[in-house]
Amino acid sequence: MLNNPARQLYLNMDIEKLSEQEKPAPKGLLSPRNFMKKNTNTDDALEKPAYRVAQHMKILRQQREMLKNGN
Amino acid sequence: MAIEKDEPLFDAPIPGMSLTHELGARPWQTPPQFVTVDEAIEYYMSRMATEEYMEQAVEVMEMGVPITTIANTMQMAGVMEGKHTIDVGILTMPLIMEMLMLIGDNADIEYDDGLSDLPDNKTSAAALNKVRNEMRERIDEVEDEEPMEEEAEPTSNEPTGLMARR
Repeated sequence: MLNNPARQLYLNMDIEKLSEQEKPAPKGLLSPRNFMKKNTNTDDALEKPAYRVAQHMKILRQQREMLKNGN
Repeated sequence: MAIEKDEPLFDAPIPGMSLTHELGARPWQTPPQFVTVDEAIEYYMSRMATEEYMEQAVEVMEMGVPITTIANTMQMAGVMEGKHTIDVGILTMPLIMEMLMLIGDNADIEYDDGLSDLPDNKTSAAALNKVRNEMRERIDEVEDEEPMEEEAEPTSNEPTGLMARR
């Protein structure tokens, strides 16, 4: 019987393949406009709580790696 | 240190146990304090960033308690206190683990992340040390109680063979 799902949860958080968040498009008058820009899945993913948790995890993981590398 | 084992769960609640109290009397039966995952994350991160918490966490990790166990206990306590719901707790658990690992790395201690394969029938070093100490104590006790008996020296060197002179 599985009493503690923490291990599976942690291993299933595939944060290495987490896509980078797109930069917000410039809103100036002279900025290029992409009318026909395809809608990416990033917006949908951002609404998922697990995705946001993964983003936080990625930041902490980077901090840990920096500590290990002695930076 | 193997704390998690595949053992039958005898302390599980009996059917109907949740109905032994008035509905809504328990914290987890009332609306949670933190509704979203973001709120729960903020709660845990601010709590775990305190100096007091870090010291306690390092102590527990040095004792050999796996991080998976600590994270699960923390989120379960959050549910029991009515801070958040179970699903929010489950979602925040990996982040709690990551934060605990960061605390451990920051304190430069060796900790058990609990991510390795579960019980591999390997005797832990702590268990071996315990047995070793017990054996040493027992040997010391026996040595104190019974002084070594000196072997009785043969009184005479007379030959005892059949052909010996009488």
